[in-house]
Amino acid sequence: MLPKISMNLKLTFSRLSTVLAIVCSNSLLETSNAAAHAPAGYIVETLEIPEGVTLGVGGLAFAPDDALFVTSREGQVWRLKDDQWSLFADGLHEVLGIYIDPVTAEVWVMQRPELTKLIDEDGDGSADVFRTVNADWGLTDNYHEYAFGIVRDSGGNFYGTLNTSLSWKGWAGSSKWDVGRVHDGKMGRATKYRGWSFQITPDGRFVPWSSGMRSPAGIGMNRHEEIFYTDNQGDWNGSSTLQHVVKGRFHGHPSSLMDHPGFQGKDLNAIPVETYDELRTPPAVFFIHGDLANSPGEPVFNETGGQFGPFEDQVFVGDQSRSNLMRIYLEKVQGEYQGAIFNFIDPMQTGIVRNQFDKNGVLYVGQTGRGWRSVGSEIFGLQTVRWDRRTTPVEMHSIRLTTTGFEIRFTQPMDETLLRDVNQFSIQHWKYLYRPEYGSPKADKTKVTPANVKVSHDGMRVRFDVPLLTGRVYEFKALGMKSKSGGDLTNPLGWYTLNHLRLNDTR
Amino acid sequence: MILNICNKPSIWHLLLLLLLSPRPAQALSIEMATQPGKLKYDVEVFGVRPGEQVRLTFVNNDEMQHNLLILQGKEGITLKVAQMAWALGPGAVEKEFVPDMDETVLAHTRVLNPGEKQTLSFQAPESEGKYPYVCTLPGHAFSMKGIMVVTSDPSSVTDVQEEEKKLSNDAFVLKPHHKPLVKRAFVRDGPPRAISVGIPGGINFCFDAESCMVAFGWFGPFLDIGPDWGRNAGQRGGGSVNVLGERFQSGQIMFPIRVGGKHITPQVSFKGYQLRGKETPVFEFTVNGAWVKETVSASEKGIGLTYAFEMDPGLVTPIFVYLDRSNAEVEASHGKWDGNWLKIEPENIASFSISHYRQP
Repeated sequence: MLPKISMNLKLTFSRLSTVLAIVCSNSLLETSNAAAHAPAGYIVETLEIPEGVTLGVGGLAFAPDDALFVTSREGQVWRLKDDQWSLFADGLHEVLGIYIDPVTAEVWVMQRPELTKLIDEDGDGSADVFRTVNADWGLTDNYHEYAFGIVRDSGGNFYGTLNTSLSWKGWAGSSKWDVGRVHDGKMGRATKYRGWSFQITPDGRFVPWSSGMRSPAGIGMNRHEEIFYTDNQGDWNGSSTLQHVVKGRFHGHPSSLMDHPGFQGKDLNAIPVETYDELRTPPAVFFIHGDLANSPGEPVFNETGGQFGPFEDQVFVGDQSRSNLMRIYLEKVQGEYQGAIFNFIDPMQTGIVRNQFDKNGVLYVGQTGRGWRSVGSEIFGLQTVRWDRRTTPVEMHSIRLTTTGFEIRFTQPMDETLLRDVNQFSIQHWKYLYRPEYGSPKADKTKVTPANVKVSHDGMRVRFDVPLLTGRVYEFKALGMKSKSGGDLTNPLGWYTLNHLRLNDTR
Repeated sequence: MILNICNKPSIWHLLLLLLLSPRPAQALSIEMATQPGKLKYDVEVFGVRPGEQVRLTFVNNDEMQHNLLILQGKEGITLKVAQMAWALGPGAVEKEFVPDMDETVLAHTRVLNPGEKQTLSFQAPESEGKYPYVCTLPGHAFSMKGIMVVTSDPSSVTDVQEEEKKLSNDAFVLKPHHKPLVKRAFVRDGPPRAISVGIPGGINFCFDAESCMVAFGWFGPFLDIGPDWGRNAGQRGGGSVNVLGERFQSGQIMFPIRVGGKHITPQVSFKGYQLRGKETPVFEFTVNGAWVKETVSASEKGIGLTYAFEMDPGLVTPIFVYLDRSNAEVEASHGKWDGNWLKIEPENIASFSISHYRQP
């Protein structure tokens, strides 16, 4: 169980072993819970972990020499190069993020107490200098005060997120962290900047960036340097979310406002829920709690130039408790991101928190199952997902909002008769309540029937009209849908988060 | 534990022996080794009869040198004898790390290299009681020790350190082997930005990376990190780890350094640490802009810590170092004490050290 302490430990690493080939059941899937393992053409493989090492993955990054760096909740940094593991750093405080400069190979890690640069001064393959870059946020001994990260923009600024404190005595076991709970929420702010995202400038300054986070377990950045984070269902979070981080934005959990200059001296409990609701930016995409995800991790953008199949530019996110990998299509409507989410691979071997693509478009999936009763046979591990570069899966590629309804695009031509049949689509929508209580039911569930169905000439797209209401999640279920060649959808459900209506459609 | 009592007599043998001799003719044989890498003997308690003839074979199965001295005296005698051995200086090796204390040292081995063994033959003391034994190689005495119990009923002697041994076999107990071990995690009753360091030999300390000072020290085993890692899949971890030994005061009851004057409020900023020689953490921080490097080691004089500071030699003002001297011995390499304040003149601030310890 205990890792060896030697800093130069080299362990042989046997070849990747294929443990899960693609399986696509021919039987109809009855619920999303019984989803097939993986879409056709996607292969899951398991990496061997150095023997005797507990590697609850907290961060993944590739160095310019293609070495994979893996950081752990247990405080280590491991390096995998040419099938050999070596220990790069040890003794750190729960490392939940890492960034490696793609040119200089400099390494930064996000520890619970600080952002640290790890320097291998003598070049022997392990760090000897642990340089503190910034530690300007508050930290108490509350286990829930995680520090997640990190991404870096082209200006050299780092971004990360800070979990709120577990403050309610009933769960925390003590009242010593009971600061900043608002309207009897469970999470609070036992010390400064809990519930914030932050920027750390190249000269090491801490800049509070956006507020209102609850349990922001993953942060990701796309090629346009737009930052997204995932938040976990709980108080003030009806269901888990993907949110677009913009400086000054308030994401909805009010405890963090204790550190907001605009709220100094104000009693946060005197401000009504409705006011917070007006102040917040709604999430870009809801994960569907219970049906799809309970605790999402790092969102990573598929910018692999087609190496990962037909889902270019989509976001891939894993879930720590359901151990499934999901896929998100984002689009901008009225200047704000919203979009659709689909299941992708369900389940993998244990809880997923981190994802990184290598230069060949192979997705590395970092896993830790400890603490939240994750689905799966393992407690920690690393798996890869690669596309065979031949097989086109049968999936909904995306769900796009139109001015009057939606357009669903498939990955390949579909059976046109089925596509034209309005009964093939079961559609309903609901809202998640914004409230201090823990989670939200699917409130005001409403079934709708599509009208005015139109199929594209290539058979890959269908569009239809439905009544459109904002602040809602639309569920699309197409259990009987088949491709032109008779294949079933691997994941026949999709969910679209509708915040803004499309005013005019240029397509 | 391998307590190998050879020739264990059957009841018939015993009867026979009782008939033939007032005492067993054959010596009691005890074989002792180490727990490799743990700075511990594998037998930490054993019993002998008063006046019994004992053949004790010590096998050094570890990767470093060890010896074994059987002593007469109270429990604290082990550290006292060890410190006298360390104080032998350059002559220590010649003297096998055995101080000149004939009345205290009942028997001893020479310094055994890895793989060597030596058998001691001696007669157990006539008076019943506890006789400690210890390895006097530098730093080993904190953990490498045991007790020989002289009693008319040796079968009643049980391993009183069973609990501690259980801990040392626990997968969550961190053990500094041949070099200091650094672990960042919450520490019970310690600061959140804690950096714990275990020094081989059984002295450990907790550095607070927020206030840039040593919060406390402890001697004995290092850390139980189970609460940080979570002991099983159902535990979330992130809890405060357990300090396993006995705590002692570091003397740093507030940030100790003042640049320019005692009453100038220190503004500190932690800058990290480097592992000097890939081993020893050197903490770096600034106080009012002045860069400080601090290396903390086990005091050689007693239970406590030695703080070695390196500061920018370009500073032209004296600095003042505060250390709580109550209930502790304090020795400084440079400077002049005024109460708890040590004044260091500019010519000495490039390198100075202070030991803070108490006699066992």
